[in-house]
This record gives sequence, structure tokens and C-alpha cells, in this order.
Amino acid sequence: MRPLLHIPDGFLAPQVALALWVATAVVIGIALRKIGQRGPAAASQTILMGLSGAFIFAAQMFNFPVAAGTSGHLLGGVLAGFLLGPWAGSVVMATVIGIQALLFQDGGLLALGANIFNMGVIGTLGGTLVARGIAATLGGTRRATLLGVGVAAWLSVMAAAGFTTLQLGLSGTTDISIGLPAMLGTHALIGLGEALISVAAISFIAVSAPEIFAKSVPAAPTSRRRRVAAGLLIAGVTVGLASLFASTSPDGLEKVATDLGFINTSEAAPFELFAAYSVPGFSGAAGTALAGVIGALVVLLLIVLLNRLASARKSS
Amino acid sequence: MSSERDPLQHSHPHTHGDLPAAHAHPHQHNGEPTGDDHWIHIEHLHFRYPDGTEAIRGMDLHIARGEKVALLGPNGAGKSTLMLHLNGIHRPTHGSVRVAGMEVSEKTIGRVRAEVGLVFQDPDDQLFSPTVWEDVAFGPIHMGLNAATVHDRVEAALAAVGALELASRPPMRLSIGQRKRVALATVLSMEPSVLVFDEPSAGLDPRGRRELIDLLNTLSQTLIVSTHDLELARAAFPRSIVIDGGRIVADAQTNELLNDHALLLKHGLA
Amino acid sequence: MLQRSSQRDARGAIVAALLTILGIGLLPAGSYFVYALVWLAVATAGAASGFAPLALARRGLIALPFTLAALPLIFIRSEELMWSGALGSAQLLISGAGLRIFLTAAAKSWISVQVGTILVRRYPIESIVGSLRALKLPDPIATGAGLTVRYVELLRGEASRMLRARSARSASPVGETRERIGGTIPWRAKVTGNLAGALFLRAYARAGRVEEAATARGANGSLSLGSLIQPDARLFIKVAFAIGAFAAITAAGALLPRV
Repeated sequence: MRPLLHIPDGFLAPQVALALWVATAVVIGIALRKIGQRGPAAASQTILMGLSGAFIFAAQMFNFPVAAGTSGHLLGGVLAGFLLGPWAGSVVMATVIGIQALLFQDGGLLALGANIFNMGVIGTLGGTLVARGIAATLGGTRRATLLGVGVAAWLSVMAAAGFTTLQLGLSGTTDISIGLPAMLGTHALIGLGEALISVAAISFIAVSAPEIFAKSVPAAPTSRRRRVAAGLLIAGVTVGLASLFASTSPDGLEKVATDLGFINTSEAAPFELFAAYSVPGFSGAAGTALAGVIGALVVLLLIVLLNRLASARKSS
Repeated sequence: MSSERDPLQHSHPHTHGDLPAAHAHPHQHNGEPTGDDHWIHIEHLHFRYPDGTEAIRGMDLHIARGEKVALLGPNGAGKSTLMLHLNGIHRPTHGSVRVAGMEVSEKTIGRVRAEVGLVFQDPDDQLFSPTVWEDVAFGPIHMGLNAATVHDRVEAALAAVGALELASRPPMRLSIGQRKRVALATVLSMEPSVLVFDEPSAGLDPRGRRELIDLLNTLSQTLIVSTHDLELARAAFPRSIVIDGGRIVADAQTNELLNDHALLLKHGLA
Repeated sequence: MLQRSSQRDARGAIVAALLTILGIGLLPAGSYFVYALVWLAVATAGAASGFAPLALARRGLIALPFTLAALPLIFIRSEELMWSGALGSAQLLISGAGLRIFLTAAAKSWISVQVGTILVRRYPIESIVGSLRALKLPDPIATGAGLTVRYVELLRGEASRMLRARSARSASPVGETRERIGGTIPWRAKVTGNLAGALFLRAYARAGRVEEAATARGANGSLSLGSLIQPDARLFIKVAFAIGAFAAITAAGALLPRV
């Protein structure tokens, strides 16, 4: 099963698409600044990033048969992020997704911002931070790193699928109560394939080119807490999604969308851009979101405790 | 990461060099007598690529079991395209390809691949596992053989190419000559009856080529090699077939062919 | 006259494509008549670029799988009931509102894909990347994209040869079938991961060689020579036309009847 994550044009309300363009531009801008900070190494990194983009394209051809005509595929988000670093990795994925949209119309042009956000920012940037967070928490061994990559790869696919569905729901093009379980369900399997392939690829590189593997694993434990926190923010959002998934009253989201004028169920102004705003009733959506935030805090607490435990064991 | 072992503890006889049952009746097709048992039958072969290029424009070819044949010809002549028909990667646009008594088709493709081992020009395309051992084991594992058989086959294949000591090394770190030998081993472990090589001496220095020739001379399988290297052909392949423009233009003893300078010149071999 | 580059100025076309797609996106749901008109205009532009309308329309179908996301709306939304009945023990209904959203999404995505197709048919991807750079796409992205586009065919060739090598060794044993031909699923995934890892190392090595070659030719700091496109003299006209098209589409959406 190929992932169904590249949203074509015509599915997202222009406001949603443009908002995500802004968000993506901000994050990629930060990423570029981080990369530029490397100074003279930036030029060789650009070359590596360019080749890595071509690699991702090529690697997406690799598959393995699962059953009854379906096969597992590679998206490559966490792979790119792990090998190149979260910032360079997200820029590479953004470039790949952009070229896919331009050259193959795989995903729309207006929706490109959303697609880059879902797969490049959430998927690659978030996924890599989660991978590093898990690896650091579990002691930084090779096994911990591989586990982190696997979990992060799966989560990245799930989060991308979840955010994609949320954006579609907000635009009124899907019903969350059906769309979310369907997307998350199918992408759970796809994510498994992604996880298995990504872990195997990293493991291969660890064995065949240990110096490259070592370079990809950040050594400094000083910013570990920050990395763990950032990764957990993503995990928290994913947990929030999970709670939305489990929630029985998802029409809060549709109410928000209707009130914000995205969905045209009756005769409305020709310019949806200038539709009247009204303060949306946040009851349905707010309840589930609150549950998600609480869940995220619990996870955060757990991992901070684990982190303490891990560092205590190391120093003893 | 441990390699997958088959948990089913079947023991079954080793099949080193045993001929599978399919080869027992070589004359089994259309009632037409084949004379001697041609191991490879190519009849009226035509092949056109999806983009319309006609790569093979009518080839008839018969190779007996155990023959050593060199395919000579300039770039773009159709040698590689022909070779890719032998293990079913390409299917004929017209005509037929029979290997080991089987018509190459969707149904027989699995068995054909076990019969015909293809050694690609760039060993890096062929070696994709973290260690040499795993690469050589890929074929037998895919065939569903049990752990003991896989182990035996890997050992035998590596021994045959003189690479036993490389078993635990990552292929990426080997020299080109070593990688070519390992690439051959990855195919030998499937115990094919036919070995097909695409430009095996490309990139080798004279010593490497010498070692390659010595190795080829130890192999008892039917050998088909596609090459520009006339010295290689002369040293290890008694029969040569010249291919140009998608057709066979000469098929004779290598010594004869290589003395025909006009022929060589005409077809870009000298 | 020696041309500095064969990269053409696609800026006008890019702006036109984006504005067209935006205009289509802003159209109210259910304006089928307008969608048809817009498609006729797009198909005309396509024909002018050498794209047969039928082939173009067929290309647009690649967006259709995504309409699966909107399909449930037909049966879920409760406004504008068109039909309701029972199928076995299940209560079914068809909602006009849901159907409208479904058809709207299908139509908009179908047309938008065709717009994108025309863009990339008229201008090679290198020109588009160069034009984006001229439109102030940040240098690292533009340079990286240029390299990606330059090497994608090469690496895809390597990947397909590796796949070929794998399938050449993916055999069934001759004679009786044994247990588990093809290996277990985790094993297959592992092999696929090995392919990816091996390909990455090849790409990594190639990147090193590209860098050495570039440095040998004096590159220091940046690979890019800046924008290489031949500026289009009629750019202003093209952009004005694009804005006009956007206005026309939006006006049509406002004025013409919708369902």
C-alpha cells in the first residue's frame, strides 16, 4: 500500500492551505538558518543534501511484497532526518515533496505547504527529534538508536496521516469520524513497513559505514533535555490526535470549520475569503483537545522520569 | 541483528550438483525432435522496448549444456538485452526463449531464476547486504531452503570463488576484484546450471583479469559472457557469437572469428 | 548569438499556474458550470502547448484516489437528503450536500492536476527550478533542488538495477516447493532496508566526488552561479494575464449559477 499523504489541490480550503504555507515557510526558514550557521561546511552539505534528495526519490522505488498484491514502501522522512540531521533532513524532504508536486503532480501546488508541513516538518523534523529523544532516553546505544528510529518512523507516518486528515476535516472535505480511523488504520500498517525498512537501512549503514552512522548520532548530552522535550511535544500532539481518534463526538471540528466559514452548506458569499467570522463554540473540539494535552503531559512526565533513571544509572 | 533462520527443522538431502527432475526429458516440446539436448533455445526472438526501440530483430540461438559462449558486439548491439531474456527480466515481443526445457514465462519464472544465474556488470548493483555472507545467502533463503542447507550452499559458493575469508566483511569495503568474486558467489549459491556474465572484466587490471579467467575455467556450468574483451573470449570461451544491430551476424569458433579482422572491424570490435 | 543558458524564464507561467489553481480553489462548491468553463480554458491552453485534451483529461485522473476521503460525506451528511432507504438491515441515505462536496473536490483536483501538467510540459524542470530561484527561492534550496533534479535519473537507474539484481536472485527451488518461499516478511523488509542503505552510501560517495570535482574547478562556498534564466521580455504581460485569468475565474464563480 502506498501512503495516501500528498493532498492534491482542490481538497483544502484556500485559507487552510495558505495558513500551512506560512507555517511551513517559518519552519523551513529556521531550518535554513540553522544550516547556514555551519559556515564553510554549508557548501558540502548542500551537495550532500542535493544528492540525498535524489536518493530519496530513488529509494521510494524500493518495496517488498507483503501479501495479496500489497507491498511495503519507504517514504524516507525519518531516514533523511537521521542521516542528515533534523534541519537539513526537513529541507531535503521539502525539496523532494516540492519536486514531486511540480514534476509528477503528486500533491497540489497550493497544497504543497500543507504537504511539506505534514511530511517534512511533522514527519522529518518531528520524527528525527523523537528518534533522538528515544535513543538518548534509552542510553544512546546502537540498539536504542535503532529502536528510536523505528518508533519515530512509525509515529511520523501516523502523525502525517493524522494531520492530513485534520486539515481535510477542517476544510470540510472529509468526515473526521470516518476519515481519521480510516487514515490512521491504513497508515498504521504503512508505518510499520516504513519503520522496518528505515531501521534496516540505518542498521546497514551502521555496519557498512560506521563513521557515517556515528556522525548521525549526536554526541552532546547537554541539549538532550531540550531534544527530548521537543520530541515529546510532537508525541503529545500525536497523543492528542489519538484521543481525537477515540473520541465519540468529532463534530466539534466540523462546527469549528462551519463557523469559520470554510464549509459552504448553504448559499454563501461568492468570496469565501471574506466570509463572516463568528466565535466558534469550542465545546466539542475543546474537550477532546484538552484530553490530548493531559495525555501529553502524562507521557512527558513518564519520559522525564525515565530520563532521570537513565542518567542516574549511567553515572553510578 | 540475527539473520532469519527457518524454524522448521526439516532435513533433506543436499542437492549439490543434483539435476532437478525437470531436466530428465529434454525432448518434451511440440513432439519436434531437438537432436542433442539444447539447454538454451532461442527462436525467432524479437524484442521492443516500451519506448519503441527495437533492440532484438530476430535471433535464433541454440546453446548446448556445458558450452562456453561469448557474446561479442559493440555497445547497443543488444547483448545485454538478450541476456536479460535468459532469466525472464525481459519477455519477448515475438518468439520464444526456452531454458533447461522450460519456456520462460510468468509461471516458470521462479524456477528459471534458480537455473540461470546473472552476474551484473556493476557488483555494487548486486551486493546489497551488510556482509558478504548475507548477500550470498539471499538467494537460498529466498528459495525457502532450511538453515543447514543455506549454510552449506554459502560455504560452497564462497569456496568456489576463493572468498571464504571474506564472509563477514561488508561488501562496500572490498576491492573491485573481490566484489566481482563475491557477486559471482551470490549467484552460485543458488546452484544454477547456467551462468551469464555482463562485462565481467570491466574495470579489472591485468592481474584481476588473469584471476577471472582462471576462475571461469574452473566452472562447469553453461557459461555465457557478454564482453568487449577479446582476450577474455579467446582465453575461456571456445565459441563466440557476434551481435550487431539486434541481430546475430556471426556464430563460430572464437579462434576463427578473432582472426577475421575485417569482421571485427565491421562490427566495432577492433 | 551564444546563449548563456538554455534555462527559460518560467516565472510568468508559474505565477499563472498558481493563480489559476487558487482561483479554482476559491470557487464555491457546486459551480459545475464554471468548472466546465474553466476546464475548457485549461484544455485550450494545454492544446496550445501540444497536449491533446483527452490525454490531459486522463492525466488529471491521478488525483481521483484522494476523493476516497470525501466519499463518506455522501452518506453521512444529513442536509439535502436526495434519497434514503434500507439496504438489508442498514439505513442508507444519499446527501445532496455531501455529493456536492465530493464532486467539487473531484472536479477541482482534476482540473488543478492538468494545470500543473501543462506547466511542467512547457518548461523543463531545470527551468522551473531556475525561475523559482529568480523568484527568491532561497539559494540552498534552489541549489539542492538543482542537484536533486540533475542526479535523480542516475540514482533511479542504480535503484532499478539493484531491484533487478534482487529479483534475479528471487527464485523458487526447482522441484517440490519448500517452506516459506520468499522469506519471512521481516526478512524481506530487512533486505529492502539493505537496498536503501546501500544506495544511500553510493549517493554519499558520489556527493563526495561531486564536491571534489567542484572544488577542483574553484567552487568555494557555493555551487550556484546565481540565476541562469534568460529573462522573459514579456513577463509583465504574462503576469497581468494571469491576474486577469484569476479575476475572470472568480467573477464567473460569483455570477454564474451553481447547484
